[in-house]
Amino acid sequence: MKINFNISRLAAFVLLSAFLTSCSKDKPFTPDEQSDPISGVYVLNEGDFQANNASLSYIDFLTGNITLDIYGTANSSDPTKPKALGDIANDMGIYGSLLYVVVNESNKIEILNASNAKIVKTINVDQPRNIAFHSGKAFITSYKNDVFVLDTLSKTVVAEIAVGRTPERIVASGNKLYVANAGWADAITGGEYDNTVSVIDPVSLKVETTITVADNIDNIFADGKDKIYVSSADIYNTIDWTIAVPSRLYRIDTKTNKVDKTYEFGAHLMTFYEDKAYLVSSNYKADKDTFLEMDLTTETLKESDIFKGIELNHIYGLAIDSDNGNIWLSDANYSELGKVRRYNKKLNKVDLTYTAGAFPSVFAFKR
Amino acid sequence: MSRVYLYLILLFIPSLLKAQVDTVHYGDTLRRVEITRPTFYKEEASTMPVQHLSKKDLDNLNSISVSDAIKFFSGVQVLDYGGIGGMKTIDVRSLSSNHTSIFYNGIAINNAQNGQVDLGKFSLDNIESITLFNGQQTKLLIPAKAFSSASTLLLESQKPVFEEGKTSHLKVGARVGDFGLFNPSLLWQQKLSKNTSVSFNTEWVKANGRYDFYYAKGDTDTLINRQNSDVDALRLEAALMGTLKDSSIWEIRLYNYTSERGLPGAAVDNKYYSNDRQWDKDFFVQGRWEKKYNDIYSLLINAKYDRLNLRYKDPDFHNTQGFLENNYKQKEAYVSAANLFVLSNTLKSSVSVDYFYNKLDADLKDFAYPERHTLLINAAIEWKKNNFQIQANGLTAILKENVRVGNSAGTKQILSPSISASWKPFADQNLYVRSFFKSIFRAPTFNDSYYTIIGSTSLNPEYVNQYDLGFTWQKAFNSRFQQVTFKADAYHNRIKDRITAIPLANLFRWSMVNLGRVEINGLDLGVSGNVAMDANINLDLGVNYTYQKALDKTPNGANFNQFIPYAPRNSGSGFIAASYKAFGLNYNVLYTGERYSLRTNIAGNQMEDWFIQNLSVSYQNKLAKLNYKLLAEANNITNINYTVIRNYPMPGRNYRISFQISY
Repeated sequence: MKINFNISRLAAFVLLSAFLTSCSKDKPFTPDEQSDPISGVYVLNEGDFQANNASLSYIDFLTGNITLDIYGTANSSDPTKPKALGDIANDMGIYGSLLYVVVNESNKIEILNASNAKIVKTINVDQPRNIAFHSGKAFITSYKNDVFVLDTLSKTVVAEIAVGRTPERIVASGNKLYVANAGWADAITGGEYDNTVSVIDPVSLKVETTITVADNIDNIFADGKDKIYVSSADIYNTIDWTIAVPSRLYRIDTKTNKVDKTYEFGAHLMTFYEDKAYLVSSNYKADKDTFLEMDLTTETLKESDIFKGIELNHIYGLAIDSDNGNIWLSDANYSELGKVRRYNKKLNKVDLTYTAGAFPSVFAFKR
Repeated sequence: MSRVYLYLILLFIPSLLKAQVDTVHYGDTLRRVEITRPTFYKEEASTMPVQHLSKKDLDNLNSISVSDAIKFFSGVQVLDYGGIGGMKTIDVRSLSSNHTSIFYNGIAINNAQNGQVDLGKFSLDNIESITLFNGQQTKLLIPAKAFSSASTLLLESQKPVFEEGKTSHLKVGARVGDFGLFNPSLLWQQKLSKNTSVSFNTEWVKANGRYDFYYAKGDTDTLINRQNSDVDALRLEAALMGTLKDSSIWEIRLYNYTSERGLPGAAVDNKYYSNDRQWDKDFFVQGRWEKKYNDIYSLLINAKYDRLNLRYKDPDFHNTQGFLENNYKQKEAYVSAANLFVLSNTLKSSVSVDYFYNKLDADLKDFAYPERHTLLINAAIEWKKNNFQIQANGLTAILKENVRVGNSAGTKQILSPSISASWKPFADQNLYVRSFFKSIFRAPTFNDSYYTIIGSTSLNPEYVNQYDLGFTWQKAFNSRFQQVTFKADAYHNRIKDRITAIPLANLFRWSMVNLGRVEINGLDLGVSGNVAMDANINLDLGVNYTYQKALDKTPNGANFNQFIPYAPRNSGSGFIAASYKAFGLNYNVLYTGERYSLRTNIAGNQMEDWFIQNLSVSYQNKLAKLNYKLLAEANNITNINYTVIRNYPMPGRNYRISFQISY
């Protein structure tokens, strides 16, 4: 997942504890699970376009069992007829005891019981893309140029917040949510890209301010402190389809809402662990995804040698187990199934590799 | 990924499927009220495998469009996106649609933008025959274009033939049925003079296209209504033809097709149809003139002007405008001269020269506006002696492209040979052994070269080599069992430099490349015959079976030795047509075996086999001077829930009734 779990969970817990005492029609959804160890990880396989083959896998840390299609089998009484998750599953996240899966082409959010992947409720949302949580609510970007707000208690859409054009990723940081607006839908039909980050207040459910960053920004990551990182995607010259403006990474200081640093490369994946950021760039080196390690204190950057010697196609997902620092990396291949690898920090080696579904992308750790 | 997919949508029409029937029909025209040309088709001596459906066969196959009928051919898959308005393209022997040329009354129908011709748009209403050649036609006096594809599908319209003492022929019909189908048509043929006649034909197809299908939600199936699959199409066609004093024959044909249709897309979980729309305006005028100057020399001139306008709209695309709309305009101009030289009793030769001009305009930002000049020069030779004949040809193609914006694909020159032979080993047996080798290419389409972001102007052509060995054996009997025909062909095809899209440095940027090899080994088998039970009851029957193994042979590829998508190992078809006095009863079946929908051969990508049965009953008679015919059809009578293309559901059991009067 792209959001920082500790911060969003903590913020949610603080902000909601008062609310919960007065309104507890459902079981509390933020138990003090912080103390529970991570017991497994869900892996979302995006699937092929129009193939209806998105899937959800689960790796149980206690037994070591890998269930490749846990959604399909958990929601069908006949294991030979697994239920299809849908078409193009873009994002997911665990909040409380529930797992929220965003399925873009199927126009839906699947709310699953995080303990067994059984469907709790399916919510229709038009062209949803990404999800973040704050204050007992799920915030889902939609290509309708909106952020849908889902109350996690009532499991209903309570608001639609108009944001920028073609919003992509969303992240919670501090007491705000940040949305990267790419605007590519206009750009490919003769219009302009968007270049803003919409800052949403999770209480008033309004866009508080917008921060101008760069054209075609689609990725956004929070370091869990006061910085967020925004990355633009490549912009092509429409005449010969060469790259006109390459992907770039920008750092925003959330105290000033200003870009305080620009990197000469982009990052489509980024995660944070113990004063370090791990990121994947498609243009740090020419024509190749590069796995990078950034020391946030010294601000030094180096190519990580953690996955050295392993041939990676297209790095499509990245997450770090906050309990032990193990790094999970997914590798997608257009012509075959993807691969998921785990780097075990203690053993200092890649100790798990398995063949996943089509386009494995997002990880969600379960406590 | 989504934005990438958007670019891919219009470009990728997946590939491949399976079905058949070929028939050799003998006589039996007595009960036919309509007078058409004799259906006897001299295919047995052909050096290349050929399958033919006459008007009568077409009447027996529960088909309303060309795409329905060709499912009965051996070695053919129709990629059917479902419903009346859904796209339907032909794939012969797993070489993909781009490797089959389609000829309408002798002149090619092209689509320079994507290389795909939607055969669902071609009604059977005015079609007299459909012929499929693996390889190419085996006559020599044909345009160079006719030598330029791996397979050739020929569609012939009904030619004006007037009954004794009549100078006009009128046929009016209407068909109604499920999916809100309303399909009236009119054919009027008039003799203008002894040697000149005119034909006018129009047809309207209107249907809401809705049907129910079962969507499997795990262990439970949910009944879903497929929507936005309506179609409203009007075809107008006029032809003027005749014979001149010098015995030369000529024809001018005008064709206009306008349509609006829904594009329901894939039925995926929670979204069972999308709201995209498509409008087509297709127009062409074509002419041909054929003259035999003397016993040695004959000339055939063909010419065509063609305009295809396509408008596409996605109302759920959230840009500031609120929708995505693209307009594509294609133009084609074509001239051809074919020359036949009969050099001796045993030796013939031909030289054909064709020129095409193609142009594509699109209202896309900084579109390339490509235009292409294609020059095709073919030389062919045929030697025939006693029971042996051999044909060979060489085709030179010169392609030159220009663009208004950006880089062009430049100039290419390709030489493609083929050789074929047939032999009748026994004088007293109708056994013909044939074999052919053909090497051919397909040029990158305008989409392959210039489509937004993923097009690549550095593409090379995609090459196909075909090898075939087969035989036809026919036997006539002086008994109830009148005749039987066996056909078998074993083939080996190789595709190299496949034009395909792959991601470049990252998964957000895809491009067309020449990558991949495919090898296909196959066997087409067919048996057909007819039986006269007594003076009133007559039976025609036939069965076809295709076995093929189409494997990805891309060196070091991730899917090496796996089956390519939509290439079932087993497929087949069969029919029985019974007639009793004025009644006709037809039963036909189609089978397609298990196949994969994607390149990776895993269980999740495997598609179930299906077996479809259709039934029809007809009655035709004469009332005063009017001939009339009633037809009731039941399709997919066992109500099988199936898909040809993954997530594009096909209709369950459905009915049609049609009525026709002719004078």
